[in-house]
This record gives sequence, C-alpha cells and structure tokens, in this order.
Amino acid sequence: MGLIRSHVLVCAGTGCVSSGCKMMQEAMQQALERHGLSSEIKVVETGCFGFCKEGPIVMVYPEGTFYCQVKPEDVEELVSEHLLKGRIVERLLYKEPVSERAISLFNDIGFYQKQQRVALRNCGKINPESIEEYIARDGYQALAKAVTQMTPTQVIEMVSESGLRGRGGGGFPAGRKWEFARVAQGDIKYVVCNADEGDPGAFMDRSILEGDPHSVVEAMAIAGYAIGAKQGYVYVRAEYPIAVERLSIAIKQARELGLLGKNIFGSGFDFDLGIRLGAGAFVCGEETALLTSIEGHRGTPRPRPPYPAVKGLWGKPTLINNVETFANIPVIILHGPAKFKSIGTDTSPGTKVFALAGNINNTGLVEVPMGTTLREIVYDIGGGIPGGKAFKACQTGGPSGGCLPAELLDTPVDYDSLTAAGSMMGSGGLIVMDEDNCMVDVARFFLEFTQDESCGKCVPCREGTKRMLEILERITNGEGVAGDIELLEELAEVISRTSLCGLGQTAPNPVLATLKFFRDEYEAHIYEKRCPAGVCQALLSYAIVAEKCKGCGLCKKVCPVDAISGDLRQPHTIDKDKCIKCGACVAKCPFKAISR
Amino acid sequence: MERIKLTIDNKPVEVEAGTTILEAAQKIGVHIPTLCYHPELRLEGACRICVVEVEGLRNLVASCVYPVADNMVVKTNSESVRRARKTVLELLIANHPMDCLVCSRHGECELQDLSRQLGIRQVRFTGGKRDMAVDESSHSIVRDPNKCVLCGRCVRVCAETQAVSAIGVANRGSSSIVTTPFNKGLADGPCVGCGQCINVCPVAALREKDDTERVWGALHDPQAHVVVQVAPAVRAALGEEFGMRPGSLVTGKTVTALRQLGFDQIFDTQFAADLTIIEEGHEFIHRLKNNVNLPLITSCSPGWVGYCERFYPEMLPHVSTCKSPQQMFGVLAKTYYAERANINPANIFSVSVMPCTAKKSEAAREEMQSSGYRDVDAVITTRELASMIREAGIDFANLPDSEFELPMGMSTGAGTIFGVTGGVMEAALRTVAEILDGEELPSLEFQQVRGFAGVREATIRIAGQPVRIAIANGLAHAKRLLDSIKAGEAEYHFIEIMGCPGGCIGGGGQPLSTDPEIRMHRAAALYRQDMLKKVRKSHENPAVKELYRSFLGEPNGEKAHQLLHTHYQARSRY
Amino acid sequence: MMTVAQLNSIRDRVRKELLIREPHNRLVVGVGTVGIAAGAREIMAAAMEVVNTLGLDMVVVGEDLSVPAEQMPVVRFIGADGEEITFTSVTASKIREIVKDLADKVGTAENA
Repeated sequence: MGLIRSHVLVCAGTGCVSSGCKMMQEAMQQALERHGLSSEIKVVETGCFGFCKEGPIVMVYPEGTFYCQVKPEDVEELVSEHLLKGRIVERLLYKEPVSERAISLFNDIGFYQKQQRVALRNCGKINPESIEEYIARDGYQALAKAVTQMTPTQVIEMVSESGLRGRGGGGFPAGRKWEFARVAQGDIKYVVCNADEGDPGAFMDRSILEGDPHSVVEAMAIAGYAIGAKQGYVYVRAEYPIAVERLSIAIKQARELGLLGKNIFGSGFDFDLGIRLGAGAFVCGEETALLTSIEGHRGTPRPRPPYPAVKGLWGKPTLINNVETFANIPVIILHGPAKFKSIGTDTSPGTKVFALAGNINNTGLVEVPMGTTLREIVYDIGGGIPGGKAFKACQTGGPSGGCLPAELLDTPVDYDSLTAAGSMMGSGGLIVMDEDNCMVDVARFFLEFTQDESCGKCVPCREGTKRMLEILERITNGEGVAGDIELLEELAEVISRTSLCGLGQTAPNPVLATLKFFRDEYEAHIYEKRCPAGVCQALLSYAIVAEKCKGCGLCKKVCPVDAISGDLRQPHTIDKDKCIKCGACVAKCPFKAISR
Repeated sequence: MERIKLTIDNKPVEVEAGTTILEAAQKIGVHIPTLCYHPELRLEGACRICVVEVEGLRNLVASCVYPVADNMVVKTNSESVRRARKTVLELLIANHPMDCLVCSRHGECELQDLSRQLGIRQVRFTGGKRDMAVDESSHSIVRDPNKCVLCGRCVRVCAETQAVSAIGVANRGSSSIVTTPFNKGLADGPCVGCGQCINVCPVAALREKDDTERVWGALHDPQAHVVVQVAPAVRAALGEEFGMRPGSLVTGKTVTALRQLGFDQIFDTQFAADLTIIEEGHEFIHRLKNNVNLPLITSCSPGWVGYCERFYPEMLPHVSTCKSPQQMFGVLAKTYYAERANINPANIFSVSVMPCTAKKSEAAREEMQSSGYRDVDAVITTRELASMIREAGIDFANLPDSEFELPMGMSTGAGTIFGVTGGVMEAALRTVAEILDGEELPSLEFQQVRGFAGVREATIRIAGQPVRIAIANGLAHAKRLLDSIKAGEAEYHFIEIMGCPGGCIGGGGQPLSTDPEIRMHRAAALYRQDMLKKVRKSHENPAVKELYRSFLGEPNGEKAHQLLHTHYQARSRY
Repeated sequence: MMTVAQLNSIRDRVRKELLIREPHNRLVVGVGTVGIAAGAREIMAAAMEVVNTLGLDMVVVGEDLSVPAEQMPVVRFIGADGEEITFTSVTASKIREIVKDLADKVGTAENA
C-alpha cells in the first residue's frame, strides 16, 4: 500500500523490557511481514505507559486499543485478527479487577481516568528516539520562545509565577532557585539535572528519561538561558541503561539539529549537555553529594551554606533540579503559568508523578493533580488492595518519609498537607501496606536501607542509624526491652537535628511516623512479645486449635520438618522445638485451625 | 570588608563576613568542642561535635563550617545542644574499643579529652563494633582502623598537605573505613611514611611503629655497644612532652636523659649534617660547573625521597646522591667510630632519635648497609624517646645539661638549622659561597631562604654568578614547585625540599599538637642555637675536617662515594 | 543552526503523520473476512491515497463492520463531532469521490 495506516506502539520502558517486550516486538515484525502488512503498519517503540504490572503493553492506533500482557505467542492472533481484519482481540484487553469487564480504550481504564499527564505527557505517546516526534508535539517550541522572545528574567518570572516546586522531595520553589542562580556572581555557571533517583521502588525519573528525554534536554537549555549557563550535566545512575541510551540519543539529535550547541535559534545563546553516570549511591541524590560526585570525588555531601546556587559544581553557581521538575518547564513556558496553576492546589500547583507499589492491585506509574486524595490514588487509580484485605498504611516520601494510617486516607496529596499529616511528598514513592504488614518491620526495613546508604561522613547518621537499626532488630527479634522506644525517640531527635545532609536529617522519619500512628504495635512486640501482623518470625508460635482441627493430616504432609504429629481424624499437635515457622501448615489447613 | 554583628551565649561579637561561628566564638573566648575540625585543613563539618543552636533554625548547625550572619543569636550550651553533643559523642565512643588503659594515646587522646569534658558517664548502645585487622606493613606507621573515629583529618592532610593520598574513605554507612587503595598494606601503596597523618589523628588509629622495645633490648644486652644520634629538631621539641614551653631548647637535658637510659655513646646527627653539607656542597659545585643534572635537589628528607621515587621518578637524577645525615652517621658509626674506638662493629647497636617516621623506613632500605652491617639498627621518634624517658622515671624537665661525646658529637650552627625548612639550603650556601667566592661571608644569615611559605625562591650571587634557588616544605608545595619546573615555568640551580610542613621540626614523629604556631616556636629555638654556636659553617667543623683527613680522604672521593652516597629507584604507587 | 521556521516545518510535517495516534475524523473500512473478499483492502488503499494527496485531517481505519454481506464493501465516516455516514457497496472509484466529497467537512491536516 505504501501509506501507513496504523501505528502499533510497543512500550519499551524498563518494566516492559523486563517482561519481554523485545521478543514480542520481534515476533510482531515477523508476523507483519508474513501477512504483507509491514509497509502499511508501523511499529513504534515508546516509553513507559505507567501500567507496568500489565506489561508488555501494546497500543494500536488509530483505534487506540490498549492491549496488555502481550506475549510473543499472542502476536499472530493480534496481527491476523486486529491488524488485518479489524477485530479486537478481546482476551488481550485489560480487565477490571472486580467486574472482570474488558476495556479496550486506554482512557476508559480506571487506572488512567483520574490521571492527568503533564510531566509524562509524551511518555507512551511518542518514540523517545525520534526528535521529530517530540517536535511534532510542540517540542522545542518553549526553548524557541524563551530564547527568541523572552529575557532571562522573564523566563524566571514565568517559572516563579507558575508556583512550580521542586519535585525531588523538598518542594523548594523552582523559580526562587533559578533566581538565586541567576543573580549569583560568576563567569561560568552550570545547570545540573538530578536523575539519581534512589528511593526503593521509585522510577518516575527513569520513565521520563526513557519515554521523553527531549523534554529534559529542552528544559535544561531553557534553564541555562535563564541563569546564564552554557553547560549542563545530567547525573543519572548507571543502573538506568535504557534511560542513559535514550538520553544520549536525544542529546546527539538535538546537537545535530542545532538545538544544542552554538547560537541556538540565532539568539546568540550557546548551550551544551553532558551525561555523568552515578554508581547508584542513594546519597548522591543529595544535591551537594551529587556535585561532589560529578567532580570525581567520593559522593559525600558538603555543608550548606554555601548553597549550590552560589557555590556549586567546581565552585561555580549551579542550578540543580530533578528530572520531573525539568519535565514541567517546557509546558509552563509554552502555555503560561496560569494554565499550569489551574491544575493542583494553591500552594502546590501542577501534578505529581507517583510510583505505586506494595499491596495494591494496579502497581505502576501514575500522574495526578496535586490535591488528589490518597484514597483516590489507592482505590480509584490503584484499584484497591488485593485479596480484599484491609488497608493499613500508605508510605510516601521513600526512606525519608512516613506512613499514614487509614484515618488519614482523605489527606490531599500536596507538599504541605502531607507534611502536616506527618509524612512528606518526597520524590514520589507510594507504597501501600495492608493488614499483613508489621509496621515495626516496615520501619526496620527503611532504617536498614538508610543506614546502608548513609555516606558515613557525619557521626549521627553513620553511627546513629546503625544503633537505631540494632534496636529495631532487637525488637522484631523479640528481644526488645523497656526503654527501647524512648531510646529510639532520643536518637531520632538527635540524628534529625544534627546530621549533615537531608539523608541523615530524615532517616529517622519512618520510625517516628510509625511510632506516631502505630505505637501499640511496638509495645506489643516489646512487652507482649507478640507481632500483631504475624510477620516477625521470632515472635510467632504456631499451634493447632484442637476444637477446630478435624485431623485431616494435610498439615502433617506439608510440614517440611516433620514437626506435626497426630492420628487421622484426631486433633494434631505441633512440636515447637522442631517448628521452623515457615507457615506452610497455615496455608494448607482448610479449617483455619492453626494459630500464630 | 563587611562587618557582621552577632551574639554568642549572650555576648556580642563583631567579625568579618565569611567568619564561621566557631571562629567568632574563639574570638570572645567561648570554647566550642571540636573533633574533625583542624585549623590547617579543609573544613568538613563531619563529626557534628561542634553543633550549636542558631535562633530561628530548626536544626543544630556545625559551628566549624556555618558562616555568621547579621543579628544571629547563637547558643553553644543550650539544653538541646548539650544533649545532642553528648549523644553524638556517645555514638562515636560506642564504636570504639575503649581500651584506653593500654592505648598509646592514653592521656593525649582527643576522644578521651572530649569524653571527660562533656562528662560522658555511660554508653547505652551495645551493638556491634568495627573489628578489623591492624595494618603493620609499614616500617613507619601503624594503622588501627578499630580506633578510628572517621574524622578524616588524616585523609585530608595526606591529600591536601602532602599530595600523596595514600589513604581515603571507603565503603558506606557504618561500614565506612579509612583505608588504602585496594585495601593493601600501607607499605604497598603510595605512602611515603611522613607521619603527618599521625600528627593530626585525634586518637591512636594512626601511630608510629613502636621500636622502643628493640632499643630497650639493646640497652639491656651486655654484649651490645649502643650508640645513639639525635637529630636537630628533636632538641627543639622534646621538652613539650614534659610540660615545657614550646620552643624550649633541651639539647643538654636530652643528652643527660640518654645517658641515664644507658646509651654507651651519645652523638649528634648534626655532625653528619655538617658532613652532608661538605659532600652535597661539592656535588653542587661539580654539577654547576659542568651544568649537569641541574637543579640539584636535596636528599635529606626521606619523605621527600620516597615521594620523588613514587610520583616524580623522572626527577630522580636531580636528587643529590648524598645519603641523609642519619644514614651517613649510621655508616660512620660502624666504620670510622668502630675503628677509632676499637670496637667490633658487629657488636654496635646504632640508634637514631628522629622527629620523623619516614626515617624508620629509610633505615630499613635494602641498600643502607654500606658499613657491612645494617647502618642504623633502630630509629625512634621524639615521642618514643619521651615515652622511654617517662618509663625510666626520669624527671626530664629538671635534668642538668650535659655534652655530646666527641668526635661525632661535634657540630656547627649550620648543622643545627637542618631541622627547619630552608636550613639545609642556608647551611649549604654558607659553605658553597665561601668555597666559590674564596673569601669569608660578611653575614651568615640568608634571610631570603627563611620563613614558612610553602615555596620560596631567591637569586643569590655567588662568585659573581646569579644562582637561582628554591625551597619547598610539605609535599603538596613540592609538587607545585616540581610541576612548574616540568612545565618550563621556572628554572633553578639548587632546590631544598622537606617532606613535612616547616621541615623536620614539623615532622611526623614530633610531640602532638594542633597548634600551627608550634612550628614557629621550634624553628626559633633552632635559629637561636645556631646564633649561639661558636662555629656556624659546616666546612669549619674540626671533627669533620679530621674525618676527611684521617679516614675519608677527599670530599666526593672514592671512599666518600662508597660510604656516603646512594642511589634511588622509581617505585610503583599501587 | 536551526531557525524557528525550520522547527515549525518539522512540527507540521510530522504532526500529520502522528494524526493516526490522535485522529479527529475517521473513515472506517469494513475489513472482516467478507469485506476483504469483496475488495475492502483495495478500497482502503484508494481511500488512503486520496486522503494523503489532499492532505486531509482524516485517518483510514480497518474494522470488522457488521453489515449484510450484499452491502459489502462498506465504509463508514465518523466525524470528530460524532457524525456518522455509512456508504455501502463501495468501489475503488466510488471511494475516491466519497473522500473528495468529505474534504470540506474534515479540512486539511495542516489546520488540524
């Protein structure tokens, strides 16, 4: 036919690559050849659609049919039925968790309905390796507008006016940061993009770099123009190979078209970008540690003041924003601050991207207007808790954040509300916990993470988190003693008030937050030697309730260490010395006769 | 300069903008405890011992790095400051062996001092402690990671002051350690043994290799004839170990103490320093006349020699082939002295007392046995000598003076000033100028070469010729000087390099102090002694003249070459 | 160096290609087994050729439209405003006329 009539978009984000999209895509190409369709149907690799749980994801246009979990063996049917005969393949459509209803259109899926995509506007819509597709969606128009029609001050005024706050965690007003860097004295200045995303489970920045790298390139050039920098660096972790590759391609393409380099749009403004790889140290997400790492040293934080805007990379004024913050910039410049401010709340305009994880039906990446409640995110977008279990807590802000209980599910998600509730926005991790999660164990998990990832430079963080973790380990091991909670609180206070950088200052938060809302769980562990959620192995004791036991013998068969004995149709018993607390018997017992 | 007004503990203070809270507090006599802070090193703000409360800030701030601001209200002893400071210190101590009673730094440990000062009476954290092997690979320095408090002062001095970077921080979180490249022994890395890390270590995580037991063994051995030499810088500092004022000159007391300890012959390294000037002076004249291998660079400092071998091997042909005074002395003790005193050199145990830890490694170099025996058997530092004196119960401060033995105890003022940066150059100029000019110098003080600037340069007219000289102290300054030569930006005839800041008086074996002024006091003592000496030019030392007449022959002659000169080799850093 | 005009020309050119992903007006060709047997693919090719030549803001979609076999091939126009017009027993030459007639209604991709 020669003319393209259909685009088949295949998600090639890290999540879908892991679930096998590359093989599926190869099979797709072969099937199209076989059916003689390869000249009329174009297969396009895109960035992340966000619905990673359902990957690999395939989107067929112009119909806009959303297929999920597409395997290589599904491809033949998809091609011969849908692409050739125009029949939607029902069995590959997304099905709603409760109603089992198959939904063919992307926008009809609950997961997407309450989302509003600004930072992720191009993710899953365009081929991230095609600068032309980015340009077709108004890419580089904001840069053109900034450098040809606006003064640097006007650019910064616009950013300030938008009310955009740093999406990396602290929520510092971006416009003010830009202004500090602009007025700072210095012949050389730098723009740095923090893409050292490190919160466990978070992948907002990775998805933007994988799905829409040009948005970051464009925003950094705008920032360079605004503050008077000619050079920028993207500091991205080496564990993000796809993001690094797509970003490298984007930079190369932008240079080839003259969108980076000398005299951009004939304005006399020069700007270029380089990529610096991080080795995956969590602390390098802290801005001064990140700069130290770029300089080639061990990535440890530096005391502030002086702030990077005054004395940053190689001692020069430096503007640092994270990926998501930058991704919002072209939208603000192009469409104006009023439009941006129409989304979100007064003090937190715009949207926020979250990585939904934990005990929730729809895991993945979501972008919602600020002010959306946790309940909407967990139930409407996230589809609720699997297995009908009860919601217990919602962890935001990653290892620096806190856990909010069910009573606070109606908290609107914005910087100030989350902080007031006792948690924080952080960079966008959102982990849902249900009744089977032990909150002491959750705190222990996060402390283990931060003490592992502490850079070791300052004493409170290096030594203090170690001691806090030891106390938590003691408690979860059933060795907690009176005074442990108070010692934890004292350490938490000192660590948060004396640590050198944000990592240390916020490291005790998971403990403080769980103590605030779930203190009874700590007390149960310490004083009653009991783990209410049944998680802490050392505190579990398996026993068979004689009245419930029918003597079926299933538990005896499944026990790997022969700890269960009893005659058929007689109540069985567990030998506690032999029992290794694996829980196999509990899972097997049809009468729920085994207690922990 | 903008002036800033603030109050600290209700006391008003006015300082320049850019001053830190700590500096401002020091100015009005408010004492804030510190640990990772060191006045001569880059600021880290790492240990958080110096935290203070600033009104309006939620968090406590590290006063050593936090700049003052107008109308700032600082509290250094509020309840939250006291509690935070004590908890931070308690955390540090909890990961420390707490074996104070048997620790080499007992009584002069900053951690101990802080614990006493802050009144720590309990350690509530009972979990794990660091448990790592002690690194005893080096002849100079012992590294005990278990005692380390990770203040990073050693890492900074090694990188910043010495440009060596033999140690750095590795691993993360509570697994962080100060370690060597690839976790090898210190001896297998770039370490030059200068011991500056020891001088800044607040605890005993870095200490000199203790050789006192070997010396005691020799002293107690009836067969051994124990001779000892004392380096110039020792006498300007040893008194500090016994509560004497910095800059006290304790030459006579040192000799008396050594005699009481049981040394058989007490000699002076300064004798060998004068000898070095004769040899090196003639070597310089030869190179100058023939224009070969200029500039000539001095070789007295083993820290510098080790650095050159590892970092600037291409410069080795410029380094004087003269052994250092310690090694010249060592070889003569077992040849010249043995012959004169009619003692079997096999029975001589030769000890040197040095301000330096690198000297221990120098004495252990393979080639340092031209006497047919190990030329120097044991090297102890000023600190180690002090510990021997204490152990022997000698009341050092009240000892009477006594004199070095002859002939190898005889020295000139030129030999004395070897102990301070620029001293070797000045001593050499006194001799070289007279030889080349053929007439006596009107003034012996070459003020151009004195001082403490990291690199100094001057042009001296000798025999009508301009001679370009340069002096560097501290290896980072040496690096700067060498780089400028390599880049063709500077040209010299003669260079003195001392590995340590201030020269030997600031050596890695000297009494511990965090006071940068201390080096000035020690230097002043040596210049004072020089002034007091009857003979102040090496070539006029009668004992040295006699040595050439009766034993060595000509300066730079065959025997002198065989015994007093050496060679170097490029060494791998890793 | 790239000028703003050059940037805009890339944008306009590629935007037309990307209309497939955000179609305004759709021309649906019935391509079930019966449709294909009746020549739907040739009709589709012809429709696309005209749409392309005229640069229309319209995409051609294949779908299994259920109409009686005797009405095949079938084509249904669905406008951006939801308007639907169905054409039955379409031929390759007829479809060219149909598309041309729809041109005014859909406008050009340029102005999309």
